[in-house]
Amino acid sequence: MATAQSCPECGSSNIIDDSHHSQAQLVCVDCGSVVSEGLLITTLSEEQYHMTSHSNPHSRYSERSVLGKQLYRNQNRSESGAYSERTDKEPCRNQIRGLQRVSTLCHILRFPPGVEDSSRSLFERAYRHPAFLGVSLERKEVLAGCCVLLVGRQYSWPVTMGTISSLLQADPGLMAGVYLELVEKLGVEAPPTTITQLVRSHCSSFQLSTASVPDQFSECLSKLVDRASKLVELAGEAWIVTGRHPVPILTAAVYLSWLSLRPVAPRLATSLSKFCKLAGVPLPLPAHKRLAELQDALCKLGKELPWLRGVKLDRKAVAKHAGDILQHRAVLLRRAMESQGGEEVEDSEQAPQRTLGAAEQAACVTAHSGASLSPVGSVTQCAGCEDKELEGAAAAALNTGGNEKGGSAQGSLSSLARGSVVQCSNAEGSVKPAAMVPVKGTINSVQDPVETEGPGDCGTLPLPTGGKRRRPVFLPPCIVNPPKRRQRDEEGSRGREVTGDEEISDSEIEQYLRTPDEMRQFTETQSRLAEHRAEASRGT
Amino acid sequence: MEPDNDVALDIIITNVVCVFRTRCHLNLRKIALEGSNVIYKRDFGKVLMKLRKPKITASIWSSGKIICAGATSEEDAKLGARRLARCLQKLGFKVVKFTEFKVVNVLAVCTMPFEIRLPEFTKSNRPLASYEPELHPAALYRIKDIKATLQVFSTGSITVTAPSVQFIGTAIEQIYPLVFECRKTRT
Repeated sequence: MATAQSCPECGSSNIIDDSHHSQAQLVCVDCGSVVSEGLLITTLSEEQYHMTSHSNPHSRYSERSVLGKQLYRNQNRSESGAYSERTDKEPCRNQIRGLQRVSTLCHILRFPPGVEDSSRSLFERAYRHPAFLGVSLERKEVLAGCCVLLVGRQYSWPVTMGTISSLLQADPGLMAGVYLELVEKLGVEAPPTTITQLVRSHCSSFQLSTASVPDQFSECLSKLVDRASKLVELAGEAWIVTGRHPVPILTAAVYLSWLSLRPVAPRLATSLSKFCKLAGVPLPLPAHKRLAELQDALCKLGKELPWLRGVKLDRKAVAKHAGDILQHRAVLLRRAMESQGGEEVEDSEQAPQRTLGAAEQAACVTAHSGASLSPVGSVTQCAGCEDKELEGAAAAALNTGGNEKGGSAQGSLSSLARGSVVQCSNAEGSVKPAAMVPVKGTINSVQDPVETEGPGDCGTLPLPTGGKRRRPVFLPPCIVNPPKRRQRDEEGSRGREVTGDEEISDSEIEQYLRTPDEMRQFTETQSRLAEHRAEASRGT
Repeated sequence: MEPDNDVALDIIITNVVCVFRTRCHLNLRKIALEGSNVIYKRDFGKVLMKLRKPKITASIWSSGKIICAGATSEEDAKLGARRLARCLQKLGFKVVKFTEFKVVNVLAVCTMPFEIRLPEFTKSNRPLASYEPELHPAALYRIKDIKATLQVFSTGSITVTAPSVQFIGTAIEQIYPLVFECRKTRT
């Protein structure tokens, strides 16, 4: 729009600001023609902004807004294009801000440039999707974080939803909703971050260098990561990780690793909350429970160590032996199965695919379903296979208990393990599953061993029929502490068939009706209560 | 031993939600006054009425639309709804009718005899399955044609929500081979 300095009719420059009722107008004094109307603000900056509105079609003064339509009403429609015909939309203010937010988050999380570019392009795509066009500003802000999270997961970058929602200071529930909608609407796949991927990043957030804490409390990061990874794998096998939030487990694992790497008196006297304060890390509430569960799991395995037999192992003392337990956990697990497994149950037709015999049992400790196939920690030890050499080496490692020899035996164990892993998986193919119970013939793939995550997984090996089933050492918490079921007395009394069309007797209904006396008392009490409340409010 | 062709899985129906209409206006204040088992939710404009046998809770609106929840079978839900309509008749609303009865939602729980690897299950069943351990411990699986939603827990427990009991059976039959492939043995 041309600056209203000269009237198009008479050429006069005597233009004044006038208003017709509520509508502001620029009027030529000499000829009286209305130069422009609808421009409510006539300050220079706004006019200048308005002049640049052509480059910003989403501005208040653009052709598409209501104000803009008033503004351009007098212009020739074919010239100005009262309705924008542009095919390449320039980004609006919110989109630009959102992109800046994405970039900022990527810088904070130290994403490589390629990942940042992917995040930006995903955000642009998502922003223009119909599902996110007319939503609230809050959702658009959270959308930026969700795009960063999604791309981080695609590139296996360990970042949690909690981190991003705390960086954005957004409601976690809203973040969850937007994230799920993003995944669904855009059809983008992103594998969830496994807990083992998070170990390193979580450990690095603990300030345990010599500069920040006293010598007796400081710890090397790599050792801490290594020990914590092993603990997390054990937690995965012990049903501690499944269905639980990862951060409290990681905190508890780091604390236990820190205790066990140098179990001196000052460290052992430090509680979990003090440790978190020392390291400058917030303490999540469930961490205490996870710590107790981890300690119980270590106690169960620690009882099988030959030099600890007969020693009373409780939660406080187990930290000192955690290193040995983790080093030999494969064999300890198998031994615990044999000795602590308890009753041997005769196995009939019921669920023959449930558990395996001790020899075939997965002392092939794979990463738990929550963990990925990361090579961190000696995951692929396959000590439970029917390989006597392996057994001998493992037993030798345990019996000596010495670090050096044990270490070398362990080294040979892991190298042998790789060889025997191949044997194990070959054996799987040759074993015929016995007494599998398919569902109405719909399952044909039962016969084939399923390739799962870990190469050492003997999970698909079925139990031979008539074999004895041992109770596993680690059980899911919901089975160990089953929730109390409601008393189902009605089921017993209603053993008869209910059709829904039975006769309804009046006597059943009478119990639900108030008698006239009760009704009178009820109304009286209500009125008295109302008066009392009114008096109280008048009194205050 | 010859393998059986059928697997006996116990499907426990925990909740049945149904709706029906009385085709007449209901005075909620009168119901709140004369009924002994009612709670008047003035802010929401409804009355909650609870029956003891079968154990159901009904939300009653003044338009005559009623939602009943808490029954453990479709027949129980119908019986409970009819009892409720009779109760309203006794309360003084003589023109109450029992029309347009429909079961809208059934919730059931089924436990598999094995544990399930959820990441593997999600990977092999995308995009119908979604698993976010930070948000919910179970993997969510949706079957579009029967409008069923299944929550698959790693302990082997599966919660199914579907519009009818028959669809629940269908959903369990569909999901069984998928979770069977991703089962794990206990260590």
